Amino acid sequence: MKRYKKYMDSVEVSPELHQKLTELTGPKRAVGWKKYGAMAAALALVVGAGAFGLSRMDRDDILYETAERGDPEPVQCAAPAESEIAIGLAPAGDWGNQTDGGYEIVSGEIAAYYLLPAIVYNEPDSSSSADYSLAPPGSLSRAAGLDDVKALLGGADMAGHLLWTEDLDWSGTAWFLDDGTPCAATLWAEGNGVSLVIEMMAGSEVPSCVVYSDNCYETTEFCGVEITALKNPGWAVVDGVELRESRQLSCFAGGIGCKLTIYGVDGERVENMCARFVRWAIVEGFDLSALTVDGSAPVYADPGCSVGEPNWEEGASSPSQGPQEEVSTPAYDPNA
Amino acid sequence: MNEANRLEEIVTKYENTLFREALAILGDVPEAEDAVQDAFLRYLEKRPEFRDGEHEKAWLLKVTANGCKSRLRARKRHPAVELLDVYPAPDAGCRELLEAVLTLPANQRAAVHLHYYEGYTTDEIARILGQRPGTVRSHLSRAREALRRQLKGEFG
Repeated sequence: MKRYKKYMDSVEVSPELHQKLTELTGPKRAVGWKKYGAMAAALALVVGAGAFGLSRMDRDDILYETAERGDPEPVQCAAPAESEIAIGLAPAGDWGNQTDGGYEIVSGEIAAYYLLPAIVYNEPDSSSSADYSLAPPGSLSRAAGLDDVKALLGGADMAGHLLWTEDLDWSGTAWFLDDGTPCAATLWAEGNGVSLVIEMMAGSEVPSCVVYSDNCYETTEFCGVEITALKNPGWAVVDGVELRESRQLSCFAGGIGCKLTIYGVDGERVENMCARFVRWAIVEGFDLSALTVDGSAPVYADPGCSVGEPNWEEGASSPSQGPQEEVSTPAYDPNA
Repeated sequence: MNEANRLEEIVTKYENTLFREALAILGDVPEAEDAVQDAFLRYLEKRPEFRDGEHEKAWLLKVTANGCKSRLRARKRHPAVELLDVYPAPDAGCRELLEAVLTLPANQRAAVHLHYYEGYTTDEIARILGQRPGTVRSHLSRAREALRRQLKGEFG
């Protein structure tokens, strides 16, 4: 490839580009519009007051454009009308690193477009792993399932927003303090070519089960929240199908630590689901308080464990998800 | 050193490196220029701390590669201003080689460029591109095979 090398050696930036690069002054956020291909700061809908619930965002902080279903280009609005409500948006000018497309949800004649973060995934270089427990000593727990997932999302369209379709089979555990306050949850789902594990903790980040030798990995920022993302931290086998595209991401938003580990066969689809998950965690928020303590019982407490403090164990391969359940990834057998 | 001087220093040091990588992946001059600009903007935004020069270079290459990947996803048309139109090959043999490289999938082009031009190992390329080393080896192997077929065994 000497000719390739010689050719590339001859390629240089133009003087104009060099000048432009040396005059860069600071962050410039690029917004990717998969559908419209135009630059914009935010998207608003003319929906009529009360048609949709307000997000947590203050509408006065948001720049507006309107886009109606079928329009190829968004239309600029001078100022929002009283009836305009922005949903699913972040405050303007605070998209973080950059966005990467989005998704659309249509209801009748109204289309809502939700921007997604462009997440940087790091390849883990693990040197040791640690067990951790989401359950504090003296806590209560019960089995969790689809109803709890719906409660966490406040009844939102989980298939539309998160691609959590109806064929996913949910199970998990919810934990509560002894006064009945929800403090953590772990939910698993399998189906439709994916397997995912969701962990949430009130008031702190979900611990990491793997310690990396190189701490200089990149984080992504979206709406002021840092997201840590890993690519291919492991794999899973579900119904004999190897799910070798895996991602794990975590963030702390709205007072709740959230972590998603997802395994699939299609890396793009897996990453799309990840982006939607963190967008929901940061912009909309999971409602841990919606979990009910009914049916819970005291958890066996390991006196050596406390929330957020891992027990370092060299060579361990998978986290302990609370003292009663264990999740392990089957060993890869190329002959299976 | 103030920020402007620091920026000029890093731009002068890496602009061609990043531009060449972006061109290899995107094959389009204006898009590659935008990708390089975005990479330096990212640098200004993140202000990362680097262990050494190699870490700095690898970080910038990674950011550039990520930006190229996003652009490829959004791309709906054939490259508007092709590489060879702006930077012509010096001879027919070189042109044939470059045309063959440009027909490779972007992932393979990225691996080829980082290995044969920048001299990175497969493990290092895997870190830069965010892929597994096995995946990078596969890209290189397939690229070599495709180039051999197109160039009838000769691509020195």
